[in-house]
Amino acid sequence: MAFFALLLWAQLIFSLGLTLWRHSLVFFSDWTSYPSGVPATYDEFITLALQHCPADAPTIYLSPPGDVYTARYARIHYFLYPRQIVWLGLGPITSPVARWQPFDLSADQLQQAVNHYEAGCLLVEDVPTPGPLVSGQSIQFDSARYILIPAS
Amino acid sequence: MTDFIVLLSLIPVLIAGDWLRSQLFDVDGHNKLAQWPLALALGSALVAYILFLTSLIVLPQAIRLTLLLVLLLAISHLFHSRTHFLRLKGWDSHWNRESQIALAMAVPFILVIVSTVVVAATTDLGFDGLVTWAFKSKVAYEAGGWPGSYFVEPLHRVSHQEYPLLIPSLEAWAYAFLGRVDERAVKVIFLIFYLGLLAMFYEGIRPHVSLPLRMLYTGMLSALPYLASLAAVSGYVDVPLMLFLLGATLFMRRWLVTGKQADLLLSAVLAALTVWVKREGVVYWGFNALFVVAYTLWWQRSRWPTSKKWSVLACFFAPALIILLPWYAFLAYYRVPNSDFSPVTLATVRTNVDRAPIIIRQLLAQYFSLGRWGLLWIIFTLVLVWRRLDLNQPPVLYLCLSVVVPVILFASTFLFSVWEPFALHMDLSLERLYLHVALLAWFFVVTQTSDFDTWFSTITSTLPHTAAPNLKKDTHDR
Repeated sequence: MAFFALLLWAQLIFSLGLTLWRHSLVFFSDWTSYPSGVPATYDEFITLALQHCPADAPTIYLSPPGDVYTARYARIHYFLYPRQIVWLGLGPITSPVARWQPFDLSADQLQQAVNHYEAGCLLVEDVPTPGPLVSGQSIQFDSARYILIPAS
Repeated sequence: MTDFIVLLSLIPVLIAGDWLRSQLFDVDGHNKLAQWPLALALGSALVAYILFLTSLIVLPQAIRLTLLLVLLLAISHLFHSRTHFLRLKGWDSHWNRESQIALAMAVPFILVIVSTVVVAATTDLGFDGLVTWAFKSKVAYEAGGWPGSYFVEPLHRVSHQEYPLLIPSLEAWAYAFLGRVDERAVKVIFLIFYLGLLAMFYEGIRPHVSLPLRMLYTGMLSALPYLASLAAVSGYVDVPLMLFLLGATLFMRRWLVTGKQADLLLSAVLAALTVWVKREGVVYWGFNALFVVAYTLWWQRSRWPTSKKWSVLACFFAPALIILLPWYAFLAYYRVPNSDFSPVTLATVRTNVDRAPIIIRQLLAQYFSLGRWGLLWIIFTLVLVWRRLDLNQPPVLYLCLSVVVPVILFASTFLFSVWEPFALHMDLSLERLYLHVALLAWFFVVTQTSDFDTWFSTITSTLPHTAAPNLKKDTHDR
């Protein structure tokens, strides 16, 4: 029984200490549970998209494929709902997450995809000058991201 | 203010849940502390079930109709049962040495609960909490119910259309009270489930340990590292699932001890409802189903008459038919794809058998993960070995298997994962699967070491105590 008491005591101290330490990290170190990996400033990009992307037309999220963009796409998908969000990825399929994948395109197919979805807005991220893209109004967010409103 | 409104929105859910309990289950011996977590579980299920069925018939008005029906139920039950609520026994307030020790033990854990609440209020729902569960509730709120189009639209696949609807329904219910989507305010729902889980656990160990140890063990559960610092502060549905799972396990164990059919029925309902909370619930329901069948047809084969065996099996399987059949029929009708797993076939097993060593390594890594579980699994194993002779008693065997079998079954599912690499799938989900059974492992430890109470009382009897203040006495049962 004494040994069991010792184990309980150890579990008690360890659990309490670790839990309260992790909770303190929330206030002092921006620690969060189940982080998505999306940077904190990303919501500003999403806010800009909400202001400029029409609610009655699909929005295309154009990025390289890959896990880091999966989380960003999912967040855009949530906040821009009820807009339809189509994820188009340039380059070969590399996303390890099988449950959904970007549609891979070569740059010269991009215009066709934009026309096919009748996109009202493109959110472009980490794609250097995406080829023969549609003309339209470009709204720069930062060096890596901009919003493109196709010319109607 | 919005948090308060969400909290208020749960009151009719609780009352309606209590109505359901009173109509269907003749379960006695519960005080307020046990009754409200049960009411929360049943009330949430009632909201989700009604919303699901009304969405099939009157989609744009489904949420309004659900609100109306549940509120009417709640008001009616409140009116008819007002004396019952007033007569309910309250908290143990008999001031003696036990109470003083329990109070001392409660202090650090009140701190844990308060800090958990504060952390939950300052963090977001987490990745799945937002893009999967909260997205569903957003769809339901804006469509006025569950639109069939959501489940077939390929562009929504990121939100796991095949995931069940209980918690998103409750979130949509809260949004209906708020009048808007507020993914921060619905955190309150998850905190209520966390507190309900602790209350149900406290009540579940009441027959086994005295007040101070009840406080200690419940407090230690509240501070379990993975639970308190990750699961409870997020918008993931693992904590709600744990409430349903604990309820199903407690009542199943009670049935094995007392033989009362009402306990079996309640366990069956809660076990079936785990499937409505999270897909993994099918593993827990499946384990309980197998155990009931084995216990009825093998253990009691010569003791029970055939009629009783049929009665027991019907009691367990009928709720599953009523609760699960509509949902699975719906998924089949809309051909909602399973996004994470390939079909379960021997060919897949043969193809992926080389995953087994990796799976076993991950299981062991979880087992020894101090940062997630502390010494829980080591304590569980030691107690299991120490009390191995008790495993010939069905209630003890059931509890032990309720921990071990799901772990094995969950591990096996990764043979069918379609993720590439599948190890990523394990990394992201195995710890949450361990969390569900960690609760049951802790319950096993508590119930199998009840003689520790005597030793503990002997030690604490040597401690000085204060004289009893002039408090109103209340009934105190163990």
